[in-house]
Amino acid sequence: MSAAFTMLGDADALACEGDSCLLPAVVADVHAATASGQAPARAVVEALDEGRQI
Amino acid sequence: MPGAWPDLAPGVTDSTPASTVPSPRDPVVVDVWSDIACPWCFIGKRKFEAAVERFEGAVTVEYHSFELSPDTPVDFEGDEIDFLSKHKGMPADQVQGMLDNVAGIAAEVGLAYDFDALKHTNTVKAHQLLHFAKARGRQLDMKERLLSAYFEEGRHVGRVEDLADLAAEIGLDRDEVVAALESDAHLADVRDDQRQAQAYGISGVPFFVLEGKYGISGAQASETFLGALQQVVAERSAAAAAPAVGVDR
Repeated sequence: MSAAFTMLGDADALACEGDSCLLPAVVADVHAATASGQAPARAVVEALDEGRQI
Repeated sequence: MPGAWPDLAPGVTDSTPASTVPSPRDPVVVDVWSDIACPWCFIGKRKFEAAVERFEGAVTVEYHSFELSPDTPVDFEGDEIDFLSKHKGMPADQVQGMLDNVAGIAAEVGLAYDFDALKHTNTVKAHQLLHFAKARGRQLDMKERLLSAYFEEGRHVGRVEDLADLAAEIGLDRDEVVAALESDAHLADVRDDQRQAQAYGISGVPFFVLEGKYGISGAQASETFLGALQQVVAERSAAAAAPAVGVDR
């Protein structure tokens, strides 16, 4: 991520990078996790641990 | 352009040059890099606007160009599922589920994404239109119109004639828009934005830059945007108060 700025907020917030916007399989998990109070980073890690494509 | 954009949060105006030493009451300057074909950019826009509504101060916003997929053809044959299935090599049902999830998140901020109607296209002309509108003080209106047209209405945002229609809908001169887009009058402005993004190290959008100092990446919670805006003002207040300390009169 940019080193030109002091970054604020959640590093795992949903964004588009390159032509990858939708983070297949993980979008729902992250959304559900954040809705339930779980940190998004944790949800992503768990998804990766389970071998799901990001 | 207060009042020109129905969804514009109170206090938001098009970006204007900031003074070199802003006072706590000066508008907070926010530069946003984003694309039209970016579902999180529209969602992030709504979350940012919600923060501005709660922010007790003024904000000026300027949008900058970022092409996520510059190789996309203007007239892609197929729908969003086709594009993602072929491009990502994913099963169509997985893509459909993914899009449903995104649409659900969009709905939470009041957006009615319609991926079935969406017309996948190249967005470089749309970015040029945003610069055309900016030169006429209408960039925020144009940005909103383009995002809604693309994600909610299934309108084409890649062809000159379609873009001119959208521009006319917000009151811009249709003939002028056609001439500007056909001559690529604002292509250099788009490239300048892209070079600036590269220089900043911005690799994903939406990307919000506050006062050229703070970066916020992605569709963050409104509270994050609000906290950042408040932090800028608090720092200005502290800076304004600092010179008085120890000064004899």
